[in-house]
Amino acid sequence: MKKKPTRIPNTIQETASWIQDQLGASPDIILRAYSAEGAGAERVVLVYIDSLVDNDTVNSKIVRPIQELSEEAFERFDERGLYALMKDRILGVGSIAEIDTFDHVIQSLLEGNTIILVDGYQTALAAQTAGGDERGVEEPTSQTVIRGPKEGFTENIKTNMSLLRRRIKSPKLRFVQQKIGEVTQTSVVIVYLDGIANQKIVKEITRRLSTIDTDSILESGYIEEFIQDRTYTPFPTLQNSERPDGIAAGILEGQIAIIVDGTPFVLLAPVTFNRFFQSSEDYYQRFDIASFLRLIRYGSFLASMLLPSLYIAITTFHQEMIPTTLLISLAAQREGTPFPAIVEAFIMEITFEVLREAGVRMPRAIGSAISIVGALVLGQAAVQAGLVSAAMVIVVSFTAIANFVIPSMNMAAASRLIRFGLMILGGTFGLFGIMSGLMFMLIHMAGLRSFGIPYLLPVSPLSINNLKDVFIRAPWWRMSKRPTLVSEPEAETRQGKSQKPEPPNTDPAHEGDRG
Amino acid sequence: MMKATEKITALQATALLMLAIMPTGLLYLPAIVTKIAAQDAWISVLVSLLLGLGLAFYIGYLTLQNPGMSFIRWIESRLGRIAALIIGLFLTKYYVSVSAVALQEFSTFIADEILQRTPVFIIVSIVMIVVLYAVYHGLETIARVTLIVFFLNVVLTFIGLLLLGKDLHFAYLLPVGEKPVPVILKGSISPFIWLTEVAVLLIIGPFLNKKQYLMRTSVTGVLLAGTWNVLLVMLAILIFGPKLVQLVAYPSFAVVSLVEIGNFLERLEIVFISLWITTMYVKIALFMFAASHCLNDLFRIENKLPIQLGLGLFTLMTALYSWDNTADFSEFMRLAGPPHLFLANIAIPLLLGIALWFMKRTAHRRGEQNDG
Amino acid sequence: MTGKMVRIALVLALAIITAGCWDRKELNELAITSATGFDVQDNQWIISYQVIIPSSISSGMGGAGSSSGHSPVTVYSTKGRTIREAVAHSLLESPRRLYFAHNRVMVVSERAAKKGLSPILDVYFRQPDSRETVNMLVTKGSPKRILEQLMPSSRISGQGIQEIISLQSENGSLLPAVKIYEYGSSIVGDARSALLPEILVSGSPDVTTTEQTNKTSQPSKLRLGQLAIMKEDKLVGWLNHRESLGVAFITNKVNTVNIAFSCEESGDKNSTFELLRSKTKVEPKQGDGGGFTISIAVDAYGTLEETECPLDLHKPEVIAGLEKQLAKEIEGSIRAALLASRRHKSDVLGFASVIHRKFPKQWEAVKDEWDDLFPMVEMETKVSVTIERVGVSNKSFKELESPEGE
Repeated sequence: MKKKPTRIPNTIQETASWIQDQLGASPDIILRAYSAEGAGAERVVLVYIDSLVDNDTVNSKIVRPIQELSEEAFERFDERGLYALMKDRILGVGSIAEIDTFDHVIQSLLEGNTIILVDGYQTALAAQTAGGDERGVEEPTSQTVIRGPKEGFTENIKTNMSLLRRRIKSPKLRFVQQKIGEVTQTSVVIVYLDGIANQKIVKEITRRLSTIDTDSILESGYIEEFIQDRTYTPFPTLQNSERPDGIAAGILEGQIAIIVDGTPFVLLAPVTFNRFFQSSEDYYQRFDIASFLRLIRYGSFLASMLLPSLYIAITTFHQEMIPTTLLISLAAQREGTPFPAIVEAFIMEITFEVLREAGVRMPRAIGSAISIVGALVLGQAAVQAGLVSAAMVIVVSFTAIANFVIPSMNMAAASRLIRFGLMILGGTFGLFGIMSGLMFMLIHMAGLRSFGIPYLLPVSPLSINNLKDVFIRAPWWRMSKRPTLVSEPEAETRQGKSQKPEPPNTDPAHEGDRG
Repeated sequence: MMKATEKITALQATALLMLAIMPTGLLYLPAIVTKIAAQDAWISVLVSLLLGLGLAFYIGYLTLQNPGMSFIRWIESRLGRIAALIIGLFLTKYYVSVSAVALQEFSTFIADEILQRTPVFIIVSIVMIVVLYAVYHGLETIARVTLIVFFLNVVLTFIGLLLLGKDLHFAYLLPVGEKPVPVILKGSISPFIWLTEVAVLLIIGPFLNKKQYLMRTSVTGVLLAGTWNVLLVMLAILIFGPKLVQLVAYPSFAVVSLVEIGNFLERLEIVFISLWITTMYVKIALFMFAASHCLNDLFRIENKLPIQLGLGLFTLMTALYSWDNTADFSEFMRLAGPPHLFLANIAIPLLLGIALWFMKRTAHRRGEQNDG
Repeated sequence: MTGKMVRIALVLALAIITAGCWDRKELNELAITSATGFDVQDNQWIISYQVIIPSSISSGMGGAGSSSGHSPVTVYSTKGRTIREAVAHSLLESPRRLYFAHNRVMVVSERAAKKGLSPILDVYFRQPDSRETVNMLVTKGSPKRILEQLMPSSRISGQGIQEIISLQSENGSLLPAVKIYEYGSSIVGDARSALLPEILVSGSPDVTTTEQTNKTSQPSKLRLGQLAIMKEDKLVGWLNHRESLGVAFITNKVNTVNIAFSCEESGDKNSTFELLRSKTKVEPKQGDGGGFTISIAVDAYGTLEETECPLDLHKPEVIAGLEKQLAKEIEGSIRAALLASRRHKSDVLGFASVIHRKFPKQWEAVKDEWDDLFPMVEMETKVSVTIERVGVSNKSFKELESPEGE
């Protein structure tokens, strides 16, 4: 597949025509030749792709200095001298690379660099001028928080790296770049803290990334599917986030981030089940409310997964559990409805999923209006028309709302899928079916690993130390250990012990009184 | 997923032992023991706990002799292929039939209590699918699931005890010690038989990641299970009185069904049954794992799945077609159960211990002779 | 490998769904019973059911509900040689399956009670859907009549009966609420006796239509009556309220109760005492002759609620006098209970288990002739009452009324 790299030929004409040949006659490819006045022979050629470069930089830092070059310079220097002059004096760009093969030239051009060719010299200069129109750093649209940084990753990998660098000013922060995608040549960067991230896992991730053989990577989702531990599972084994603070926190705990050029969603691995219920805000709020909210999230996950199936199982198998008064009103509601409870539930659930998908796809301006109207009209009208019972509408709506509480979208998606399976089990075998289904799920989760880390880690196998950040969030000064297995064993200690804040023994206010 | 070196922690092993004993005992123990010892049943169970602890010490000691090989290989290396073959096959048979019995008890219970009209075949198949899925994942996964199930059940038990507080009649326990000692001892036989299932440690012991905790695991496992049994029997007596307990088929759950909090929280037994279902899964999964592990090890089979599927199907059929009705089944349990468990869980470890001791002695003597 | 498992699971799942749902019972297929009646006639069980009609109690939209005019319950009965046969016969006339899990109350006719209730107990302990916490009541007439009676305050009268009996047992202590498992455990206990409260329709004609409940006053209503003595599972006699209060004291089942007593040694002036806490200690003793004596010590605490006597309640000696009068009253009811149970030769006082627990060896010897021995058991009573509060007025109104009052 790979051919032998060909060197740049001697003459710039040859090179220039080869480049034009390779890239086709795109209007955005700019080729500018400079020659000494009168002499006619072109001595220097600039090549760049207009749509990829930052025009300001190219014009002011490269084009103008070359144009301002005196006539005599062109005449006085031979190709070697001219090349050195270009490299050392003229180009006002920080990052300059010397390249000498055609492949590099093309790739460099496609990355937004400006190529400077000097006639008769077999090495070209690639000045870093990448730019062009890009989205700036904005507030992330997913995973919004009330308290906490409002920056989000962007599509630009450089910006994203800088966002992380700025948060972790440690020499140990490592960025390892790889190009993946035969055609797209997407930059993929692994980020980790040397000495804290488990070296074995870093190696494993690098290995898995390097085995990817595909033509294109357009989003981190591609990478996720290529490197995850198991495909046939509803549970995500990699985390993704738009939030630099969340990713930085992960890196500090020993996780490894994977940034993919072209998407604001950065991957984080390895992950355990509980991580999908942590929001970065948990760590910025007071620990009591954070713990409470976290419990609410676990509850919502269970509700979102189980509620319809429990409702079906209890109303069609275990009516003895329902308080008599409630049973009577449920029975009265069911009096007029034609379908069995499970069919009713399926109708409502599918209706909701359709509404939800429509809400996402519809143009934003009408989206919310239509989905509200749809829900209201469908819900209310369906009950009044006697198609479904009112209780079922309540159950399905609460399930839907509960689903949005889970901070991580891919975990929320898992619960949505499992819900349907459990509904079938609950409708055929009652609670026995549901428990069997849950048991199956539990076994599945217990057997799951994310890059060698057991998925249910701090709970089973049990690690008491790390339970401080699972169901509750302990105060910061109490969480002195990093997650085991995820981080290097030597780097387990995160912070000093006994940092519990206490007021000074002498109260300054009283001292003032006394004084 | 099939890893060569699976490791479980001491805590997980303890929970495994406890859940190997608890789930089926929960169903039948109160009725069986109160039938014999009436209000003194709890003393019987306490006695069985002491006996069980003795056995636990012995099993722990025996497992400690194992340098870390899997059980069958260890026997083979010490006592030869023939002995390994006999013991291995017998244990495979034993664990298959214990699984079948547990499966039968499980499905009978489900059919009795919640799904009266669903064909038993379907119930058993569902259970088997889940169990095989667990066995396929291996002991490590089973152990992890066990730990979670264990914690859930501990929490729920405490809640149950709190809710039942006001229905307890301590007078039902009086007079203490009315039954003569032989009766009490007779009553302690069947809870002790349950506790002998600690012998499964011989199989799962080598998987322990820290060998120094083996003894502790064995003893705590039995202690937990035994204490649980005592609590359970006491609770049943305290609520129903020694007579009524015998009438109710599943007193442990009938007990919970009495809970009435306000007018809205009642008939909670289904919640407790649901959680108990998970423990039952763990128990059957553990025994099925033990069976397939023995067989695989005995014949050094690399691809474990076919054996597991085959054993699963065999167990399923055994559970379905061995017994015509519950009377037939309880007759079987009364006549064949105790000797069977006794043979596998006490006689074999004892013989093994004697054989090992004898080998050691002859080896020692030979060593002396060689020296001399 | 996983793929294969998934495929197998998929096939099984499909099989389950297509074949499935053996035990499913939709809510609108159930006839939810709120009360059942058991009667015996010509060796046949007549079982009556009070079935709730949900749509007449709460409307489908969950709105204001109670579309009056429709009866909230329907009552019907079926016959059969056994209880379950009778229940099965209901399928001949009812479009819905009877569902007993929400059954709160079970009314047994006197006839059935005299024949023995063990078949009912057997059914209740055998069937998983019936709850063991159902309340048992006896009626002298037909149980069906009780079930047909409507209540204006509680639309489902089965629930209403349950509320009456549990309220009475918690705040009145005259009649105990007996749940079926409690009945079961006392009937198999050492004394082999149990008590069941009576329910009756007082007045006539019966209130059986919703039009009648719309009136402010009903010609007849359900009320609790006496206490039935069950001995060896058969009804042998009745206890009046005074006797049943005595039984409650002896068996330490008194919660709160209002006791009216005369506040003077003689005379017809009365007061009322609200007993708030009471504890009874029962201690058996064996005399030299082998006969048993039971000593009963009652400690009761409560509030004075009402008095007609002109008393100065500031004075300790006045209170002490009242306490003495009260103790006499309670002792009287305890004595009455003993006499009644002797009369019926039925150990409803639970002396058998008291003796069994204290003297297990001696009990072995006497347990077979306990029925004959029981009436010979002596009883010593010691009642101490403490009036802790006298309410928010310190003197009786009577005292202020009298001319010499301050």
